[in-house]
Amino acid sequence: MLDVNNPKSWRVLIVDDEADNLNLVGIVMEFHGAEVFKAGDGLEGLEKARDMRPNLILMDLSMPQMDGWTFLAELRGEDDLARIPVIALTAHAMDGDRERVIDAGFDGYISKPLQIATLVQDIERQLYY
Amino acid sequence: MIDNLKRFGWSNWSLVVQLTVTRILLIAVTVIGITWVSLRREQANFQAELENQADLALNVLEESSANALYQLDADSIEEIVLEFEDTGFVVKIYDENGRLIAETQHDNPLRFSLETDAFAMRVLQEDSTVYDWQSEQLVAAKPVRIGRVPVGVASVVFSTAPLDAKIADVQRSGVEVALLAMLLGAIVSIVLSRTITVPLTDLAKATEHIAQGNWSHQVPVHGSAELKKVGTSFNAMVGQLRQREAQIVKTTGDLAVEVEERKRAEEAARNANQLKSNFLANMSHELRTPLNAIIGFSDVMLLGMGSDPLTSKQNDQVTRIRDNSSRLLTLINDILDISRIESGRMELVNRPVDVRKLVQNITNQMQSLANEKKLEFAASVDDSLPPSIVGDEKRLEQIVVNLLSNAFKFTKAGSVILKVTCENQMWQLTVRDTGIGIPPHAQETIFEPFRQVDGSSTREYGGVGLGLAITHELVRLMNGQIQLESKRGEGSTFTITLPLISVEQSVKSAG
Repeated sequence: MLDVNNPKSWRVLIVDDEADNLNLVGIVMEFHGAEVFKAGDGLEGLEKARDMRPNLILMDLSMPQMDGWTFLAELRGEDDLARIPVIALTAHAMDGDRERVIDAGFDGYISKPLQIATLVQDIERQLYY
Repeated sequence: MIDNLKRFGWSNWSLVVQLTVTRILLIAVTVIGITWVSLRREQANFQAELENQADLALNVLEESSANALYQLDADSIEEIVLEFEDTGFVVKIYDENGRLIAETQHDNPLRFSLETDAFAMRVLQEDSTVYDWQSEQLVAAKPVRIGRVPVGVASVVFSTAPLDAKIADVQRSGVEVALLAMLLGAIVSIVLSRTITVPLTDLAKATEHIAQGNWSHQVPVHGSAELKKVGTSFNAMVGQLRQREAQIVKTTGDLAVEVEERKRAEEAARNANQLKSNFLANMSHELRTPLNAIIGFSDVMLLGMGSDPLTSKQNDQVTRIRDNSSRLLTLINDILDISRIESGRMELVNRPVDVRKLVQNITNQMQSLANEKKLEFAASVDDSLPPSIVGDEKRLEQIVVNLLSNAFKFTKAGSVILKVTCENQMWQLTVRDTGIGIPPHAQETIFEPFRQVDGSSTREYGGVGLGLAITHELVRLMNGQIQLESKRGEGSTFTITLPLISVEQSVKSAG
C-alpha cells in the first residue's frame, strides 16, 4: 500500500524518454527510500506497470511510441492498474497546461524544471490535492 | 394669387399646359379689350350719326312748323306732321307751353293735349336741342322760334333697333375673332412649347439612362439656342462623368489588387509570427530539457543525494553551476514571455487567489536575498483586502518577484518594502526601495523591452531589462496601471493598481 507520507513505501514507476531525466528522478526517489522502476515510453511503461504493480507513476507527457495521454487512458482501462495515482512531470509549462492535464484524469501536475529539494513534498502535495 | 395657383395644382401641370393656358388667357384679354374699345367707338359713331339725322329732321321740322305754330294753324301743323308719316320715325309738335299738339303714327295726328309734357318743358327751359337716349329709342327735341321768341317744341323719336343690331353684329364678329385668335394662339403655343418641352423630355430621358448606368447615351441637340446649349453641355458633362467613372473603376480595381496584396502580406506575417512562436516554444522546450538536467544534477550533488559527499570547494563550484543555470532559465522564461506577449498569445488564468498566502510565499522566497545583502525587508497586507480575490496567481507572483528582484538588485543599503492596500474597488501593490533610483529621462522608457538605465548598469547589475517590460505588459493585460516615482540616489517606488474582483462578483458574472 502507498503511504503518502512515507516515501519508503513508494513503488515508483518513472516514465520519460530523456535518459537524464529518468536518472535524475530515479536518484531523488531512491535517495528518499522509494523503490524505482523506469520506462523510456508509454508502451514500455504499461508493460512495467503490469509486471511490477507500482503504487505511484511519474509520467512525462511528450514521448515517442506512446505518449503520456494515451498511456493514462490505457492504464485506466485495466481493472488491476486503474487506481494507481499518476502524476505528470512535463516541460510544457504553458498557460492552461495544468488544467488540461488535470481534466484528462491525471492525479497531479509538476512542471519541469523540477525542484529537486522539494520534489517529494511536491508529489505529496499533489496526492493530497 | 400665387396661393390660389398652388391650391389649383398649377405647378403639377406640364409645361405645355402652363404655357398654353398662359398664352390663351393673354390673347383672350387682349381680344376682349380691343373688341370692347372698338364697340365703344362704333356705338359712339352710330349715336353721333343718329343725332345728326335727328338734327336734320328737327331743322326741317322747325323751318316748316314755325309759322304754323306762331299762328296756331292746326291744319298746317297736321299737314306738316302727315308729311313725316312715312319717314320711319315719330314726329311730335308741342306748343309754347309744352302741350302736345300733334304726332305721327296716328290717322288723326292732332292732339291738343291739355297736359304739359315734362320733356317739352325741359327743352323750352334749356332753350337748346336735347337728346334723350332711352332703352330702345332716341328722343330728340329743340325749341321752335320766331326770331328769339319760342313758339313751340319740335321733337323726333328714332328707334335704336338698327343701331342695336349693328352693335350686336360687331360684338358677334368680335367674339368670333377672339375665339379664332385663341384657337390660333393655342396651336402656336402648343407648337412653340413643344420646341421647349421635347428637348426637356429628351434631357429627362437621358438623365434616366445615365442614372441606370447607360453612359453611352447622348442627348439629341435641338430646340432653341439656350436648349441647344443645355444639350451640348449635358453631353459634355456625361462625357466627363464617363471618364471619371472609368477612372474610379480603374482605381477601385487597383485598390482591390492592393487589398489582396496586403491580405497576402498580412497572412504571410501571421504565418511568420506563428512560425516564430512555434520556434520559440520549441527552443524553450529544448533549452529547458538540458537545463533541467544541469540544475537537477547540481541539486542532487548539493543536497548530498549522490553517492559521495562534496568537498567545500566542489560544493562552491557546483553552487556556481546551479546559480548560473538558474539565471539562464530565468532568461529563457523571460524571452518566452516577452515573445508570447508581443505575439498576443499571453493569456491570463484567473482563479481565486489568497493574496496573503501569496505574499507570504514570495517573502519566504526573497528573504535569503535580503539577508545576503543585509537589507531590511518587510511585507504587509492591508486588513481591508478580501481573503480571496480573482486573479492569475502565477502572473501576480511573477510581477511581485520581478519588482522585488529589481529592488534588491539596485539597493546597496537600507530597505525594501512590499505593501498591499485596497480602496475603491481597486487594490495596489507597492514596492519601495532605498536604492540608486532612476533618472527622469529613463523613467519614460524603463518599461520598454531590452532597456536598462545605461549600458554600464548591465555590466554592474546584470540582466537584460526584460523584467519591467513583462511586468508592464502583464499589468496592462490585467487592466491595471503601473506608476513609478523615483529620485536618483534616494530610491524608487513602483505602484501597481489593479481592479478588485471579488470571488462573489466573479461567480455572479460567470453565472
